[in-house]
Amino acid sequence: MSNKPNPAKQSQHTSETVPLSDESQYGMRVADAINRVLLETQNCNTDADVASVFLAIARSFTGSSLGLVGELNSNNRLDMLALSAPVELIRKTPITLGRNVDLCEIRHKVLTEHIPVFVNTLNAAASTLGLPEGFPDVQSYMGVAMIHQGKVMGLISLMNKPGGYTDADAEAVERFAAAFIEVLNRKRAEAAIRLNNARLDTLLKLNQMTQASEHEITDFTLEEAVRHTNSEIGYLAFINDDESVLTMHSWSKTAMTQCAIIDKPIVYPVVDTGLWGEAVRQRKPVITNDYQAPNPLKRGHPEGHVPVLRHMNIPLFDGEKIVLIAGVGNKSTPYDEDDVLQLTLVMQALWKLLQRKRAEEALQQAHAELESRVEERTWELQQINQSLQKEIAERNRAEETIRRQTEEILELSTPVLQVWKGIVMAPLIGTLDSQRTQQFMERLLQMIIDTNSTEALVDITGVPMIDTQTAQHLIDTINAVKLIGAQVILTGVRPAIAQALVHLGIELSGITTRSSMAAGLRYALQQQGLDVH
Amino acid sequence: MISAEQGTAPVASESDIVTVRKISREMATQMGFGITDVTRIVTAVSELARNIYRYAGTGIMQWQIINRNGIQGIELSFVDQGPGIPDLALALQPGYTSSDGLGMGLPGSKRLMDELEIESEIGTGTTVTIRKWLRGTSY
Amino acid sequence: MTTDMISVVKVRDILLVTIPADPDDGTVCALQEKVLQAMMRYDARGLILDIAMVETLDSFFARTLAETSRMVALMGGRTVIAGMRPSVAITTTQLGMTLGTIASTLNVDRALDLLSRFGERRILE
Repeated sequence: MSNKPNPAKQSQHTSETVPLSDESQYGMRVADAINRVLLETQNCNTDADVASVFLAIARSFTGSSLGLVGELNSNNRLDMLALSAPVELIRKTPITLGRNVDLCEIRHKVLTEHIPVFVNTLNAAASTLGLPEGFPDVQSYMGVAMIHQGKVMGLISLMNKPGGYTDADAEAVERFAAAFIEVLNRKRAEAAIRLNNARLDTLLKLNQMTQASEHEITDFTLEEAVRHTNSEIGYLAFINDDESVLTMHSWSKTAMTQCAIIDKPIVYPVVDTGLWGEAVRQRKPVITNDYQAPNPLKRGHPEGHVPVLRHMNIPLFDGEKIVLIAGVGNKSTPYDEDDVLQLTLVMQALWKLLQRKRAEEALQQAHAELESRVEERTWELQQINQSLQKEIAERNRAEETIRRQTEEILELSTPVLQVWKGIVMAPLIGTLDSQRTQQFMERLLQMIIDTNSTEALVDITGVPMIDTQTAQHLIDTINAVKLIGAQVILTGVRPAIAQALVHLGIELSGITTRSSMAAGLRYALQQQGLDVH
Repeated sequence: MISAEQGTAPVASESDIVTVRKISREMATQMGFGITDVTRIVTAVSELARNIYRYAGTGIMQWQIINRNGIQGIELSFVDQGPGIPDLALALQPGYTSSDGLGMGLPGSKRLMDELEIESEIGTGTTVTIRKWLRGTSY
Repeated sequence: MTTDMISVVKVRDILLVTIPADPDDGTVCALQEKVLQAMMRYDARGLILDIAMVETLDSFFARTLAETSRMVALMGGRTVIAGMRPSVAITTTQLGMTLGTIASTLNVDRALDLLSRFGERRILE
């Protein structure tokens, strides 16, 4: 019949006797590097860890002596995320990663043109490229842009490969950099989701505390605020009508234990306050990340008070008036806009709850009085109702944000990567529910079309269990890929899954499978070789 | 641009099948369904509209935007006064085709949509109602 | 829509048909007619159906395509579809439709490659 071997009928025997071309062997190495990036970053906890692992793999692949990952900041300069170098170098000099590093000519070119650039006769001093003092001069340099969803987010620099860099190096690094970027963004999205979940949790808990006393509510809110901003101490003070006097209401528990003053004055005229009254005077949130430095706002702290290194406080407005001040201090990293938002949200919730309680109490009082109060009661009820409606809407919005972020995570956790010309790879991890499968199928198909690929490696080593629905989804995926003109090579079917599939009576004839990702890739590369005239 | 939140269209000819496909495509896209969900809806509409045309000769498609627990969805009803479906359970079975070789498209449409309901009476007519809910972003 | 909307182009001994976005039932049937006529007239050995513009593929259309492919095979030709959209592929799969033994390719270029590899031999399915 046809000259092209029918994939469904091809046997293992045939694939072993056809040797791979040099190009295909290189492709295997690239795919292996991608695999390693995905595997070895699984247990990383911080972005810097992920970047370090990636750099180690990139260095070993290209034979580079040095590697650097930097992210673009708002000044359009690079903040270095990780540095990878031989152990001897790191031990010799203390490493501080450069921040706000200027873009040299090469880096600028890489970032604006979005293509890898390498120079093999650079002869530049280490410091000009963001490397610490004491590092050797840079002879050869290769820069690869980090691109996520069409936007440049940073730059990968590899340096000092003996013999110089080649086009093949550039192409290879681009490929497994894509895996690195996927992982990085996924970890960040996961961290953001965890934080948001914690925040939503607090808001929900707060809304349920209707029976607690005002003091219990404010104490709880303060503790949560301290927690969410990763701070050590926090305080809350109410302010009087003409905004001239602060009444300290709560200190967080740690502040109470750290503070040695026994008789803390409760009432402070605003004019007498130092840093922590600034939010009233300036009528906006104030962040001070270096309190020890001479600060014109600081007015010294009395003996026995908690030493403050970093501080942030916010005024909470009700209409035009400030009604309370909340502050937190001694976060181990600098405070940022996100922390301000955090604190504001939680204090807003607190204020609304307090108001609701007071309105309810007022209602109860009015109840005991004469009928001329009926109108007032109705109005108060309406106020409560309106604020409840707003709360519900806000909660819905918050839930919507969480749901959207969860979807983004789902997307990120089913990466589809181009491994070589004409071959894409999708390692599936976790279970496949309908929604995830849906997204996965769409992304896989689109990637196949975008890259003009004819082979798609789907690896299910990371899929722990398979039920009828998941199996059906998998088969749908395989069939859909066939319909657009490509072929799925299924790999990583573990014994338990194989048993489950056969017992479920799932018809798997006509599906190409291989035992491992490597074997699947080998087969795919052979198919590619046969596709090329 | 379809401005109304509901409407009715006749299904009495082959070009009507094309028309209701266009209507449902516009509605679904406007509502914010992703491209694949739009395709599912339009395909189900095509199947059910053709059923009306082939088996009953004439009928209508009614559509409206619906809301359940704050989630929006699209509801489409296919109503005819045709012969009716004798065995509903059989017609809904995957793989079922009627005697003239044309599949009734019901099991397929059921798979593509979130909900499908049929009411049918022999000699009186059939109403098939399908619904799909908006579910966040997808390509 | 009339039959004029379907263009059948002859490329050596292969027929290339570009299918419009949303053909009505009449056009779909006319497609079959036109294709078979062209098969006979040009003694073609292959048919490429370019469905890159097609947005909806319902069971009627799918059945007609499968039928056409079988008829073309009886006349000594092989059928390939090219450029199916992802949303259509997913929907077709989930609808449970198969296109029989019609081969699929990513685009018309690859379809031509595929058909040329079959050489001069006639294939009967």
